[in-house]
Amino acid sequence: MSLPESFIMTSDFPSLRNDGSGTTTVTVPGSMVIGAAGVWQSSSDIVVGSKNASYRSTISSNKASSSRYVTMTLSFDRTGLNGGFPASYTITATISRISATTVRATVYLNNPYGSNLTTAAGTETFTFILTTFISPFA
Amino acid sequence: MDKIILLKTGQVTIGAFGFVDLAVPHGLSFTPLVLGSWTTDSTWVVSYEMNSSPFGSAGFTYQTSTDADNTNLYFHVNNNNASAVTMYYRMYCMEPSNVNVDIAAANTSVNNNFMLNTDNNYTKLFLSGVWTEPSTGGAVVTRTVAHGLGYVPQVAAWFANSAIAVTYPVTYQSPNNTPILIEVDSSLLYMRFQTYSAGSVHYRIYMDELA
Repeated sequence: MSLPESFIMTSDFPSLRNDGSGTTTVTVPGSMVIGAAGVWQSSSDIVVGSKNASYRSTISSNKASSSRYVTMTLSFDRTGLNGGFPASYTITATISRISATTVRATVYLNNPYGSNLTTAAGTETFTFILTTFISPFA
Repeated sequence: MDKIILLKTGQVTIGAFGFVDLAVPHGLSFTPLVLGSWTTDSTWVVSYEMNSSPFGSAGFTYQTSTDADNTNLYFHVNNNNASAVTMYYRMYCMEPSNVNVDIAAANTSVNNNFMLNTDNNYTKLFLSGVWTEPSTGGAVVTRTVAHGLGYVPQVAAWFANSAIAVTYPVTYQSPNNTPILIEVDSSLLYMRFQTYSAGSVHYRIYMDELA
């Protein structure tokens, strides 16, 4: 009996092919002080997949649900302190390619206020899981 | 396996700090489930998915998204730069699980001889379906789909928003600002609706483990 290696069929319709996968985390310190209109960001790179590969990701946070959000970009509204009063700000986690086979996971937040913002207490860790695919265009 | 029923490619130029909502007719008798990628490089060495963009100190360099209606696929771009840019897009579509029509072979302008090789690890579709939820009146309503795989599988999802009559892939989520959240764990797919009009989730769960 022959084995099915390199058994090639033609099809009227293409499909997606699994390529690679990778995981990384970005940690956000708690109770940071960010100056007026300032931005904080941190990133981590994953070398994954082939040139031209499409990618999907899930993002999770230890401050949110224990399940994983199926998304490229995830934002949460958080409450910190501005001038001693509760103040809302947004924290965003996102992924993007920076080279043919490297994807960068970035978390950023900006202070929308005209004076210092103290962010929410407690370290927050975002976990990014990435899978890549060879698309029909590759 | 996933069956890709339509492929579209093209390019569009967007002015400095400009935006475009490019309509690409799809010729199908239903609204397909669209996915896509884009680049500013005609050789496609570095490419990006929708809702994924180079990121600088001022935030996203571009904001991109895609969606579809009964007539067109759409490529939406905001150019956050002070110079014009030409973007190249590739969009591909799948058939919703609640559609059952004959479909002509995927267009052959990209590749006219699709080869399936047993050496390759194709994505293996395990479960697909549609869940329609009436308006939740702004409250969060969670629906689940049990997959029972015992590990976290790959998932793709689209949201059909009756308020704006398009179907888009769920690639941006915010518990505070988006009408749908899609989450997954080792036993369930979660659909968290927070809407003011009816909406449907098209989901596809794969046998393939997330990582």
